[in-house]
Amino acid sequence: MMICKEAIEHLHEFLDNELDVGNYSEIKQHIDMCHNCCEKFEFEQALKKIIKDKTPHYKTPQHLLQSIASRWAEMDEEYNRTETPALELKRWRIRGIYDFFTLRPAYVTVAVLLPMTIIGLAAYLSFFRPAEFPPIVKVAAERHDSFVNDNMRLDLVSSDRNEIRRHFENLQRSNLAIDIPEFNGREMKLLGCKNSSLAGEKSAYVGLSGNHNKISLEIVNGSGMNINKLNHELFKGRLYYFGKHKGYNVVLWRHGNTLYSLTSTMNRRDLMRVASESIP
Amino acid sequence: MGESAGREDKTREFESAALEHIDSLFNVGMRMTGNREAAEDLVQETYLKVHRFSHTFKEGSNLKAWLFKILRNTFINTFRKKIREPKEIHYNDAEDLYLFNKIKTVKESDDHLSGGITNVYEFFEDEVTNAINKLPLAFKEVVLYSDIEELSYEEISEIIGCPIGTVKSRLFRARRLLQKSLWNYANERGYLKEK
Repeated sequence: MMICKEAIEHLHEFLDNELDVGNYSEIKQHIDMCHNCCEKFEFEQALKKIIKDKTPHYKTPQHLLQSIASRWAEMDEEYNRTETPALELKRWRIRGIYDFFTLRPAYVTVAVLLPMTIIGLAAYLSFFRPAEFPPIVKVAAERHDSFVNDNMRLDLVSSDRNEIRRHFENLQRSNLAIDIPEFNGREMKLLGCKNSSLAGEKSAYVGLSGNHNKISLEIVNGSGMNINKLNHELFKGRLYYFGKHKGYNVVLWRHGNTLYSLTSTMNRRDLMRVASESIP
Repeated sequence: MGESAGREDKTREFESAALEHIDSLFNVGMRMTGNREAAEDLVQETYLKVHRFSHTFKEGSNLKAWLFKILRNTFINTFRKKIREPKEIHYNDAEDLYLFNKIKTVKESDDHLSGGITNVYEFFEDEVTNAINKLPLAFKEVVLYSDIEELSYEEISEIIGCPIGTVKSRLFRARRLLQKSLWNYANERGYLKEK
């Protein structure tokens, strides 16, 4: 049995004829029996009717109908005129251009983001992808090879050590903290320097010239690079790692947190001597 | 040739079907804009769009709702109006059947008001128009669609682009507001005084 509250809840839907047959007849039954609800429903129904009846109903003015009819005729005429093939082609071409250079926000966003994503992905893959680096000895030897054959461009071509030190100090801002070693040996001459990278670590490259040979010095600061697998030898109290590639000898050592490498055609012992005498 | 003539017949048929509803559109246009000139412009613009976009009308769907939808969008675009439901400050169930409860209270304390409770409607006449016109746009339109044009909830939902539940709650709130407004008119006139 339906209670009054339920009936009143559906009052609007009932009067608006929005109830399905089952609900409708259930409420109808209730209203027929309940005087209170009946009064309310009749009131609301009458009010609904009053609202409709007391709202003036306007007749569409004749001139508006005529105006619409004539505008429609104009539009039809225009449409038929533009339907000829030549004009159709022209219209298509204009629309084509505007369609192509559309400024819809969604398209603009895609047009901007897509290249950025592709470039970003390419940059990530080519620079940041963790890759297997070739053995450090090989890298050092090949770089020295291009230095020897004058194929390497040095950013700073100077024999002034202070200038080189200043150069690398500037580079400190880009995480390259370099301590330029002092060269005691007179036979050693600075040729220039550049910032570089050695086996994935930023490094400072210094080109030197000895009496008869060119020598490459690379300095990597704070490198945790593992060189322990290389052969090593104790010379004058310092442990040197060494290797050979393309006929160049490479000697590496650690000093504090810094990794040094010297590369030259000189034999290993001479390189270690240069290292121990010239670079404290 | 025959096919093209057939299509033309179909277009004519569609156009005359669309024009059958022009009085309804004009009346809603009058209420929404508040003046005759603007209503005429609005209806004309609407029918130009109807003509231009007649091919987008899906055969078998509700033509009247489609027309009202175009009218509504044209209104919003032309008058840069936003049709948003006003936030309700507070609402309690006692406000349902507002007018009924008020009138019943008055009747019970005044013997001069004879006859059935619905007779008191003789007191309102032109106020109905003003009461509707005073409603916020979002309420006004649902009252017009439902009470004047007698469209179904589903049709209204299609026109205003809201779910049926929203149509219902908005319509019921609109009617409540309308009843309050009608009561104020009756009270102002002094025919019905609250004791």
